[in-house]
Amino acid sequence: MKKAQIEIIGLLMVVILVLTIVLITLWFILKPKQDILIPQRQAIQINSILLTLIKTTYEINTNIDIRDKILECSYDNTLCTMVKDKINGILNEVLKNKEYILEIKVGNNVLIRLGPETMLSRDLNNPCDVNKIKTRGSILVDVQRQINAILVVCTIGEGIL
Amino acid sequence: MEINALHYFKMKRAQVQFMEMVFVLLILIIIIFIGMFFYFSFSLKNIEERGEELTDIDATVIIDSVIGLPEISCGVNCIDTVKVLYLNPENDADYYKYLFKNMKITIKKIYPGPTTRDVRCIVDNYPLDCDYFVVNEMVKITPKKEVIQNAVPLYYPLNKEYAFGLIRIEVFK
Repeated sequence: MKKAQIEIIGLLMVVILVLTIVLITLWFILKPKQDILIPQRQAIQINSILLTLIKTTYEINTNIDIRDKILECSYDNTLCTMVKDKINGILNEVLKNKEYILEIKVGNNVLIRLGPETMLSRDLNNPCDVNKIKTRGSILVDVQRQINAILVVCTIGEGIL
Repeated sequence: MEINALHYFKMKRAQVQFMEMVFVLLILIIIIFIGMFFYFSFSLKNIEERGEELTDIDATVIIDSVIGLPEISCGVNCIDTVKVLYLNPENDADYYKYLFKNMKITIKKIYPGPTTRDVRCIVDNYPLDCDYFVVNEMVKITPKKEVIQNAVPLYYPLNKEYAFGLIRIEVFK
């Protein structure tokens, strides 16, 4: 092989090496990074929604809050519809057009289940579409009666509130 | 004559080799500079992202701190609206500027639905004819901001009621 040919091959190798390094660097720089704080922030928000919800006064000029009404509903199921409507009104106002399911359980029995109609038939463990992020929060409403409230919200990463 | 020609040819060859070496060094330096440029721009971007993350964490912590502030708190995880009404951070600007940094903090009543929308609560229109309170507005407004919100119970001591509220922090970067 002539000397000039060897030098051209060497130059080509150097160019390929430089291009590879530049491409790898660009890939690292331009790679979209996932915000690691979003899931944590959403988990905090979802728990704050549940805590605020049960503390909200049920009716104006009364000292009865939603937690008391849930407790009453756990003893008398006929009262549940009113509590359900009230909670639905609040969550619709707070979560606006988000997809969500709220389930209030006594032990393993579902006391109240609400959310947009398209969501109600879905499984609580996996209610979100593939492209959506599921955030789940739960609180103990009453220790003695073992009443739990579980809220699952599906978002596309824009935040719950 | 022949010796002179040989000498001239050798000189010419040496010059070419020297030039070749200079070019190689020049290209090497350019490559090193390009590498440094990419490395530093990458590092700078990382530092900026880390800074933004820390600001976000700061804002999340601030939300909890604000709810727990004795000036406006009414116990565990609740805000007394009368206390917020009378809180004036400008009275102790240095302290509150240090505490709230460059964050605008507002609290909005969501439920029961207010009779009016987007009306700031002051002593004259509280509690019925307003729907939001301002905790801190001593901020230097910049075009880049991040908004963080959390739900919080709002206590109305006059009728001993709790409303569903949202605390909103606007972090100006």
